[in-house]
Formats: sequence, structure tokens, C-alpha cells
Amino acid sequence: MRFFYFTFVCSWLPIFIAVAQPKTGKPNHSLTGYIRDAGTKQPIQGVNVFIMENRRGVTTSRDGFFVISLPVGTYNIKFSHLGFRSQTHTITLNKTVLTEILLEDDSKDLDEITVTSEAPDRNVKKVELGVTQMTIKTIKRIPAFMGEADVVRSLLLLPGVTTVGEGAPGINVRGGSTDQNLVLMDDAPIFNSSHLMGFFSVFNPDIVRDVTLNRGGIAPSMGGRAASVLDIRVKEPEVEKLSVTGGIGLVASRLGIEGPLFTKKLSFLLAGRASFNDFLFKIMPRSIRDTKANFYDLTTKVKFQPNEQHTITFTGYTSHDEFKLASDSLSTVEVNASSTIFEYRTVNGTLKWNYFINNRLNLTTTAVYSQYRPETSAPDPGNAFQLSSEILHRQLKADLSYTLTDNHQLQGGISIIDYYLQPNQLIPGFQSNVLPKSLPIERAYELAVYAQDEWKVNDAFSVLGGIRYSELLNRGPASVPVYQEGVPREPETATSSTSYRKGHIYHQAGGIEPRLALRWTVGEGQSIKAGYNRLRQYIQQITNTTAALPVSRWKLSDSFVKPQIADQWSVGYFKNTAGNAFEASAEVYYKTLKNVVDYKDGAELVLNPTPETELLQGTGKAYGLETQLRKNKGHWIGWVSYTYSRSLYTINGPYPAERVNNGRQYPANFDKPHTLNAMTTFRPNNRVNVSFNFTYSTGRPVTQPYARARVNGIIVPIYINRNQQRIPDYHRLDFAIEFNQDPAKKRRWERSWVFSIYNVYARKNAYSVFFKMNSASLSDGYKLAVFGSAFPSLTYNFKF
Amino acid sequence: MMKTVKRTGLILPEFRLSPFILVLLVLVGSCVTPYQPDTQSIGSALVVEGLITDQPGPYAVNLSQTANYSYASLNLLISGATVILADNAGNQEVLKEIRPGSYQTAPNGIRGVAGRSYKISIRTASGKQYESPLELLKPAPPITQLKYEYQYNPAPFENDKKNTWEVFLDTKDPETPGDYYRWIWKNYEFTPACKLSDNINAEGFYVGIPCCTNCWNINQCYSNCINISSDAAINGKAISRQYIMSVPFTSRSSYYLEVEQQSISPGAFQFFNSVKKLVNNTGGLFDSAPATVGGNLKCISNPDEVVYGYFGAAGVSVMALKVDRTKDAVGIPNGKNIALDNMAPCLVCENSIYRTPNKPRFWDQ
Repeated sequence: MRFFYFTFVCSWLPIFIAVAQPKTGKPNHSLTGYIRDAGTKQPIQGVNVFIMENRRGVTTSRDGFFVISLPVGTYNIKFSHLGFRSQTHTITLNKTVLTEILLEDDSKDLDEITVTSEAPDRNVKKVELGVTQMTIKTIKRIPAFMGEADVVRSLLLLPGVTTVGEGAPGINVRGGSTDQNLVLMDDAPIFNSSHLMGFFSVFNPDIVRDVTLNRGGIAPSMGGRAASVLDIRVKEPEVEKLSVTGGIGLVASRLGIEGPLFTKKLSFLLAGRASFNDFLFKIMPRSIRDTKANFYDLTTKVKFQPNEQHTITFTGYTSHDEFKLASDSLSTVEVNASSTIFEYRTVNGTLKWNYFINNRLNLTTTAVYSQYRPETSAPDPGNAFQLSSEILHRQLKADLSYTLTDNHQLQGGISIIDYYLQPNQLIPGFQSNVLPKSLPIERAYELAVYAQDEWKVNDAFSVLGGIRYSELLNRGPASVPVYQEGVPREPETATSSTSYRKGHIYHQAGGIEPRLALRWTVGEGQSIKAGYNRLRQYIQQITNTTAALPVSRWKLSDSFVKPQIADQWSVGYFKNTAGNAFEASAEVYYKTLKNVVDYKDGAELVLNPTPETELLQGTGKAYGLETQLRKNKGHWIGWVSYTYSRSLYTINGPYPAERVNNGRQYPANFDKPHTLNAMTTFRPNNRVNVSFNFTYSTGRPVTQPYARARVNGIIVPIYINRNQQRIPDYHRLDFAIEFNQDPAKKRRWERSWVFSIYNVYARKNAYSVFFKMNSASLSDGYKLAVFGSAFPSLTYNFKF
Repeated sequence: MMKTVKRTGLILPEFRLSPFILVLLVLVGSCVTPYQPDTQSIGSALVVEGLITDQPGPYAVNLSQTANYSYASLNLLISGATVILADNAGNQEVLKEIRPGSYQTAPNGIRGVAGRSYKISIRTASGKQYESPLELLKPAPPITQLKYEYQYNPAPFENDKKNTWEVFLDTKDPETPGDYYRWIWKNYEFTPACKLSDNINAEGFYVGIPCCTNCWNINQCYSNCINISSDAAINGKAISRQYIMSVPFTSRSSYYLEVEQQSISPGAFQFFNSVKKLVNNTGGLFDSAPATVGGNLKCISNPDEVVYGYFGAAGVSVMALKVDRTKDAVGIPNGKNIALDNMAPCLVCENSIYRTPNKPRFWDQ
């Protein structure tokens, strides 16, 4: 704790020094303001604020705020942003000015169609690389599986994002596993981002404002996972009038309400989504008629803005899934069961206070509560049980940003997370023979401090640099086994154990995480960027299946499981032409990973009190090239991206049982070298949208048998090395058409229809490849296609 | 439990797919199609299987070779080896090769005793030496009861599969932790005919040649038969409703079943458990990564050589059950109707794994 205090002071010191610096030069005044959407009153991020007189400019921050310091005078200022009509205002500056600018949506203008909320040249101008933002508008336009606009699935169209299979939970970013992504919804972490085992994402598209995936230049203010930060922002409630939105789809139906509460200073949003698809199973064959698959999620956001200085928001989110399968097919509890129920729920809350101290200083204080509780249960009398686990993440953080000069934007912050993790608990049902078992609770603090500076060296060169220090402190009560030295770590080689009392810090691990991003403008609309960052991860999901089940257990780093450390270097070239109508980019990255996790052959992790005896850690590397070409204007818009990426692990422990593939390098489960994505939207008029989406990727690695043995009449496949073969390549085309009403006419009741087809040419893409010996067929291998036909769907949306 | 997926237009064997995959199949119209990946190849290795129990012998050890993972390849048998079974009390016996690759103890030879440990050593014709560690023969707790429940399954086409009686076992686990179980079953069916015609005649009967003596056909589980459990979750309590098998509606006569409860070693359990997982693995996203299954044998002459299979010792308790098939079942039984050709000379009922002239132990009870 002492060390932590010390670093806290250190990192804040430059800021205080900076504050104390005397200002020089002729008197400047600050021009500040908020830019919002004229229709929805939502703040607009990334609006270009351009001073015509001295040809300088800034862009607005996430909450639509901008600040620029100028000498006394009168200025013509242009506010422009793709998707909105540009405005020019004349402003006389003789004191500090606070303005509010409302920009109008240009969706009525056919010649310029929005696909992004980013500034037209943000691609080239911003310092960070490997950061992509998608607005909900874009996401909704992508043809969706069963008509459910899906925040997480839509990310699969971005370069560098892949999945191990259709319907698999989670995403893999730049050769990282699914648990290496920090998924934040208004600052609260989401430990399971999928409904129904991975078919749909947990985010209600009606309440999402935008989604930012940080996979390259991750700013020092973010951290905690080794691959990426996926930042999902809930939209701000409308303050003008009460409105109701909703939609009826094949999978889920949605209903939302938002508007002011008593005064315009207090507004709220409440939106829910629920599936009512049990009836689908009722008409199915008997074998799965008992299957149940239900989910709901509920999001609320309350915003209180008493004045321009203070904004307090509360975001609440809860989701629940229930998936009932006949038989105990996926669980590993050694008990006979006639059916298994998988249930998981998330309860999140974020309270955020934004204090705009003055036009240079802004303080944000956030309290986060996030709870995730998965559970597997069987109902049979005599053998009834409940296998549950829980993660509780409680966090407090403060971020202070300070505009030192036009060229220096400083930011610093501090964060403390308190983890409470129940890995597995087996609770017998009434009159059950199952014995109760409970694994010890893992407790730890994760501390972080950071400081960063965005420094505009000159017009051509900018630097975003900073440093983050993070540390995990495992605390008691705990009983830590002591393993014999010089022998493989096995449950049998534990000689004794050490007990620690409540609150005692018995283990700590941490270190510095440097972050750096550079941008060099090499010509009109062209820039070269480079970045380096280090990320540390202290919590992981441990499972030896290809995709993690939502009920898979989580584990904090401790005396045996070392934190994962990723170092990433990246370089990119960005070019915009034809008035930002075309964007081209190419990025290469190289990443080294320390302490990546894999498992011993046949590892059993459920209810295992010593998972460290089944877990192996080694090194990994990931590298790749991401290219993208994008068209932003005209009747046809869209993008094409190609990604080459590799992800390779080496696990070479001191004993043969602690090696994978004899210590040689092997591809990770999600290593998919080639990916090609194309997405296009055609808008012949303002009432119809036609979208196509094509995706191609190399098949994921699998392990195939090398030989067979016959034991007791059973043919036993013999596996030697992991992940040496691949399933066949994957490709698919989707289509969607959306019918809207003429937006020029104002109506009380707005509605739209979306018709989509998933997998248009009904390719039987391999979900898995497996082997069965049988005499009736001349083949030994089989391919299972899960989404083997075209899926049409229809969704109806309304708003009044 | 496991389901059978049959689809028209495709010749499919019995696939054992987990219900989760099945849900996917029906939910999203997926399908399984043959797919031939490149076959991988390694040199052939030794495969050993053998078990000694506390029941009367003879006990058998079978030796074979691994083969390429394709339907066309064969697991060749290894003959001419010397196999020695020994216990920790100093007794040992050289097994006799009764068929190529199959080695047996003498009927009056070594007898498994609970509490002793057993091992085998093998010397192949090429001079390579293999050995198993000592395996403790642990007595098995008695089976408390066997019971059955009638079940009507509308999905299958044949009436013997529509009407089934599910057999369950109850037993009491000892207080000690670390007990591992394996269950196997045998069905004995009295048969008047020792040979049947290949096809039915005009009246719908198979023509049978009578046996000279009483004779019983033996049925047992031939595929996907690893039925094991551990006391990890229930130590010291009852194991209840352990599924054993489903009795088909092939006749209205009572169905005689012998169930054997084996107490196996932790190593044997691990081996069977890994094999079971591999056999059920469909390479899906929620299947565990396939593991290399070795076994408990080692090559002494070349420590790097991998040997597959398991030699184990198990205490056994047996219980029989007669399932009454006259009640509950709907429709007519789907079995073979036999017309005896009494003019033909009778045939000897040969004792084999498929047939026996010896009356089953609990037949008259």
C-alpha cells in the first residue's frame, strides 16, 4: 500500500507542476462549448471545430465538449462532422465563452450519407492507431443473424477481430483469447458478453450509442486485459420529450422508454429486451422438446445535470439467461442427471460524476459495481445439485484531465478494484446424495495509477504518451499449498499449506505499463502512426474447451498463476482522398505474450481446488497485417478489409507433462491467418437501404487423431500433437433490406421493417470436424455445419 | 443420454451427439456430412488390454497394434509373445496363447484375490519388453438393487426401440474416498436354435436348426460402452439411479440380465474416462481439447516407446435382474420368429462370448 501511495504522488506530480507554471504571452481567452445533435440532443464526439482565421482546429471529446484558447478577437468558426450539416458561426472573444452548438442530421441529404460518427478525417488526424469506433447506426445496417442487430458480432467485420466459430461466445482480437478483452458498458465490466451460449450479444441495440474497440494504441487510462478494450457507451436519455421505441423480432422483442423526468435537468432511459422463443422448441422433435432457451436484459440510465458544471449519471444493467438441456452433457460433475440448466446473470451499476471545474480542468469520479453469477444445475431428486460461481468487481476511480496549453492535454487517474471470486461451489438439492463442496474464495485488490499527455509538437507531429502502473494484491483469508521443489506440480506433490489471516496481503504482482503513440502527417490527408503498449492482465477464464462456456470458471492471478503480459508494437499508414470520401489504411503489429495459459492433457478444472496443477503457462507471439479500404460518401458506401494474422504459443515447462507439443511452437485455438471482410450499403433513396456483407476466413486449428487402438472393443483415437490441422475455410454472404418512412415528413408514429437473410448461398460451413469409425460409410471424418442453410428473418421497429 | 440423428438423403451411422449440438442442429438446420481430411500417420505401437478380477478365471490379455486412423486400416494382432501375470505374493503364471493375440490363464491357474496387487510383463517375439505397474485388486461393494422403468419413445421407427425398459442400479459407496466404478452387463436369452436361416420364409419365420443341448445367446454392449463413475461428488453415500442399459421390446418373454459392478483403480478410471471423452468428442467448441491417452504400461527396453491400453485389477459384484416385458409395452414385439426344422441334425452349442450351453448363474432365481 505504501508503494502504491508513492506512485500515486509521482504520477500526479507533473500535473501539479504544470498547474503552477506561470503563463506567458499575450492574453488568451478560452472558447468552450458543447456540440449536440439537434434532434436527439446527444453529444457528438469528434466534431471538427476549425478556426478559419488562423487555420487551427480541435475536435470534440466524448461528451461533445471542446476547448480552444485564442487571443482576443473575432473569429469565423466552422463546425463540421460527417453525417451532420456543417455550420459556421462568428464569435467575438473578449472573455471566456461557453457556447452550445446544435448540428442537424444530414440524413435527408442524399449526397452525403453517414456511416460513422467519426470526423471525416479522424482516421488520419487522431494520434492513436488500432482504434475503431462504430455507431449504432452502422451496426444496425449490417445484416444480422435472425434480425437481431448485434454489437459484438458486428465487430467481426473489423480487421483483426475473429471468432473460433459461429455462435461461439466472445471475440478474439489480434491473436488474443476471448478473456483478454475488457468489455465495458459505461465503465462496468461485462464478464459474459453473450446470450444463449454465444448466439447473441448482451447489448440491447436500442440503448447503445457507440462502440469503440481499442486494439492497438490503448490509452494509459485503460487497462486490465491483455488484448483489447471494447468500450460500449449507453446513449444519453433524451431531454426534450418522452418517447417509446420498440421492435418485434424472431428471437427477441424490445421495448424502451426515455425522456425528461419533471425537469429537463433530470432525464431517464429504461429499455428491456426479452426472448419468447420457447414455443420454437415445443414444435421440435421430442428429444429436444424439453429444451428451454430464454433471456432478458434490462438497461437504465438516469442523467442529472443541475448546471453546466456538474453531470451525474447512473447506468444500471441486468441480464439473465436460462438454457435447459436434456441430460448432463456439458457439465463435468460426476452425477447422473436427466437434464441440465445453465443459468447466468449479470448485475451492473455505474455511478459517474463529471465535474467541469473550469475550462481547463475536468474531474470524473466513477464508482462501479459488477456481479456475474453463472450456475449449472440438475433437478433429479437424489442427485439434485447446483454448481455455482460468482465474480464480484467493485471499483472506484477518478480521472482528471487538464488542458495545459493548446498543445498539451494532460490526464491522470487512479483506480482501485476489489475482486471477490467464488470459483466453484457445489450445493446439493433437497434430499440429494451429492456432497456439498466449496472452493475457497479468491480475494484481491487491483490498483492502477496513470498519467498521460497528448502533445501536439507541431502541425505535422503529435505524441500521445503515458505510463500506467498496475498491481494485484492477493489478500487473505487464504490457504496456499506448498509444492515440493524439483518435481512436476501435481496435487500429490503438495507437501503442506500456508494459511493467511483475513486481510493479509500474501502475494503481489505488478509493474509498469508504458504506452506511446505517435502521428506524423506526411502530406495532405496522409499520416504515418506508430505505437507501443504493454498490458497486464490479472484475471482469466480457465477452461480447456475451444470456446469458453458462460459457466466456465474464472481465476485471479496468484502465487502460481502469473499475470499475463502483452507487449505490442504497431505501425500504420493512413490516407484519405477525394474529400475524405475514401479512406485507406494498413497497419502491422507484432505482439509478444508472457504467461499465456494452456492446459495439461485432459485437464479437469471444475471444482478443482488446485487448478495450478492443471494449468500451464508459456509464451506466445502474435503478428499480422490489417488493411482496409473504405468509402464514406455516395449512394454506395462500405468497406473491404483484409487481415493476415498469426497467434502462436510455446509451452515448454521443465517436465514432459508440463509441455504442449513437446515444447514446440503451435498455433493457438483461434489462429486464423487469412480474413477478408466486405460490407456495403446501397441507398437508392432515403426510404430504402440495401446491405450486403461477405466474410471469408481460414478454418480454425483442430487436433486430429494420428492412429487408432482397439481396447475392449472400443476404437480409441490416438492424438499426438495439438492444433496441427485445420477445419475447412469459412465464407458466407448476408443480405438485408430496410424500409423506412420518408424522414422528411414528421410523424407521431415512426416505423421501419428490416428483412434479412443470413448465409444467402446456404454454404455448409464447418462448425467442427470429427471422426467416427463406421462400416456403413466409406468415410471416417465428418463435418458438422451448424448454420448450414439460409436464414431469413423479419424485424419490425417502431418509435413514437 | 445420447441421441441418434438420422436424416434422409444421407447414410449416417449412429452418431452420438451431445444434446447441445442437437439443439443447434434443430434450431438452425445444421447437418453432418462426410468429410475426408488428410490422414496422419505414425508407426504402429503396442496395444494391451487385460483385466484380473476376484471372480473365477480364466483371465485374458489381448495384444494388438495401433493402425492408421481410417476405416480401411486394421489393428493387427500380436502373436508369439510371452505374457506373465504375477501378484505381490510371489505367485506367477505364464499365459497361454489360445488364439492369435489372445493370451489366457489356465482354468485352474491363478485366482484374483481382493487385497493383492497384480501386474503383467510382456516379451514380444522381437524381444521388446513391456511391464505394467502393480494394480491393487479392491473389493467391490455389493449392488443394493437393480430396478427398471418402462419408457415409451415415440421417435424411433422400430417397435423394439419405441418400447424400452430402462435399467438402473443403486449401490452404497464405502466411507473411504477414491472409489471408482465401472459397470458392464450381459443378457442371456434362451435359444432353441443354434443356427438361423439368413432370411425369413413365406410365413415370416426364420428357419432354425435345433441345438443338441440347452443353449443361451449372450448379448452385451458392443459400442460406446464405457459406463464409469467416481465417488468424488457422493463419497460415502448412495449411488442412485445409475443408468445401466435399455431393454428392447424384442419379445414378451422376461429379459434376463446380469450386471457386474467393478471396483477399478484410479489409474484405470482415468484411462477409461479419457477414452470415453475422446470417443464422445465431436471436435465442437465446447468439447475439451483431445488428450493423448496412454495407459499404464511401459516399454522397459526402450523408455521412449509409447504403449497404449490398460492392464487392471478389479473387485466385482454381480446381480441379476429379470425384466417383465408382458406389461406396459404397446404394439407387437419386434423380434425374430423362429420355426425349428426338427428334421435337421442338431448342432452343438459352442461355448463362446456369443453363446453358452451353461445355465446362467441366477437363471432359476
